[in-house]
Amino acid sequence: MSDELTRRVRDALGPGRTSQTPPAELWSRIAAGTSLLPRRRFLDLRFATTGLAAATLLVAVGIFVRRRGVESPAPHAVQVVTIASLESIDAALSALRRDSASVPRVADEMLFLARMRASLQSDFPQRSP
Amino acid sequence: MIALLVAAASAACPQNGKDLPPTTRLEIAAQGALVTVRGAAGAKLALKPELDCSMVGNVLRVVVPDGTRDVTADVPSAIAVSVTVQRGNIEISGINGNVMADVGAGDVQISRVNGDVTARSAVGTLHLSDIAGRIDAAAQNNELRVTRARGDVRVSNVSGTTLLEAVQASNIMATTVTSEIICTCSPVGPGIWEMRTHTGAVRVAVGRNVEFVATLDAPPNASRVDMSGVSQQTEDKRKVTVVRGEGGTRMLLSSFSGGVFLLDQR
Repeated sequence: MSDELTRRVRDALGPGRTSQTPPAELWSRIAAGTSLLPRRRFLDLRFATTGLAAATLLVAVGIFVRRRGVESPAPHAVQVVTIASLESIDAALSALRRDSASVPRVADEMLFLARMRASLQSDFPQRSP
Repeated sequence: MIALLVAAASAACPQNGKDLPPTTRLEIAAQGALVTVRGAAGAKLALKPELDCSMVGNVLRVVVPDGTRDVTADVPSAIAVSVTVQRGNIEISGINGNVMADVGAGDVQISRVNGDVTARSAVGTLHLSDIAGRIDAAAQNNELRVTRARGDVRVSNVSGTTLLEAVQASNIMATTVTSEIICTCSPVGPGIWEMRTHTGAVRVAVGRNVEFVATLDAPPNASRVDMSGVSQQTEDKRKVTVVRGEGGTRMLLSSFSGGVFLLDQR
C-alpha cells in the first residue's frame, strides 16, 4: 500500500479506536473516505472476464454437442460394432490358445478365426466420418 | 429470387428424364437417407427429388445433400447400380447389371437382380432375393437372408443369423463366428459348399434326389443326419462322412463347439 493511500485510510478511519468497530462499518468508512475502491474494481473486472470466458465455453460446448447430435452418429456406431466383432473373434482366439495349438483341429480353428478377422477388416474398412 | 432460380437450375441433373446407355453405372452416395433404385425395361432416369449429378465416362454420380431423407431413382434395368449410405436404408430392385449396396448403419434390401450383387451392412440386415448372379454379402450382428439365388454365394456374418433359402448354387461359402447358418439349398452342378461357424450351428437341408459327399465336423454327438438313402462313416470323434449317390456336391459343414445338422428337405 502506498504512503498516500495509507494516509487517506487513516484519515477515513479517524482518531477513534477501531478494534470494537464491526468490519463492515470500517470498510464503508474507508470506501467513503478514499473513493478508490481498488479491490472492488479489480473484482468487477475479474468477474466480467470470468463470465465472458464461461459464456464462450458454454457456447462452444453447445455447438459441439449440437454438431455431434446432428452430424452422423453412424460412423461411430459402425466403428463400435466392428470393434466389438473383432474383440469377439480375439476372445475366441485367446480361448483357443489356452488349448493346445499343436492339436491339428485347434490349429485349424485358429486359422479359421484369423481368416474371419481378416475378412471382417476387408469387408468393413474404417471409413472417415 | 434470382439466387433461388440459379440454385434450382444448378441442382437439376441434365440426364434426368433421358435414356441412359446400358453401359451406364449409376453411383449414389448419401450421408443419411432412404435410397430406392427401381429398374424397369426402357425406363428413363427419374430422380426424386431433383438432385445435382455428374457424368464422367459411363459413370453417373449423384451425391445426395445431407438433410435429404428420401431419394428415389427410376432407371432403365440394363444399367449397373452402386449405392453407398452411411446411415439409412437401401432398396434396389429390377436391375440387370451388377449391383453394389453398402450401408454403415441401416438395412439393405435387394431383389430381382440378374447381375452380380455385393452387399454390406455393418449395423443392419441384408435381405437379397431373386438374384441370378453371384452374391458377395457381409453383415456383422444382424440377419443376412438370401432367398432364391442361382449364382455362387459367399456370405459372411459374425453374430447374426444367416439364412439361405431356395438357393441353387454350385458353390457356397457361408461363415459366421457365433451364430447360426440355415441353408435350404440345391446344387446346380459339382461344386463345394463350405459352411462353417465357431460356436454356432449349421443346418443344411437338401432335396431327396441330390447326390453329395458331406463331411460333418462337430464335437462328439453334436452332429445329426436325418436323411434317407445315405451311407455314413465315422472318421474320428468329431468327423462323420455322409454320402448319397456318386460324386455330386462336396459339403464341408463345421462347427467347432456347436452342432451340425444335415436333413432332407420336406
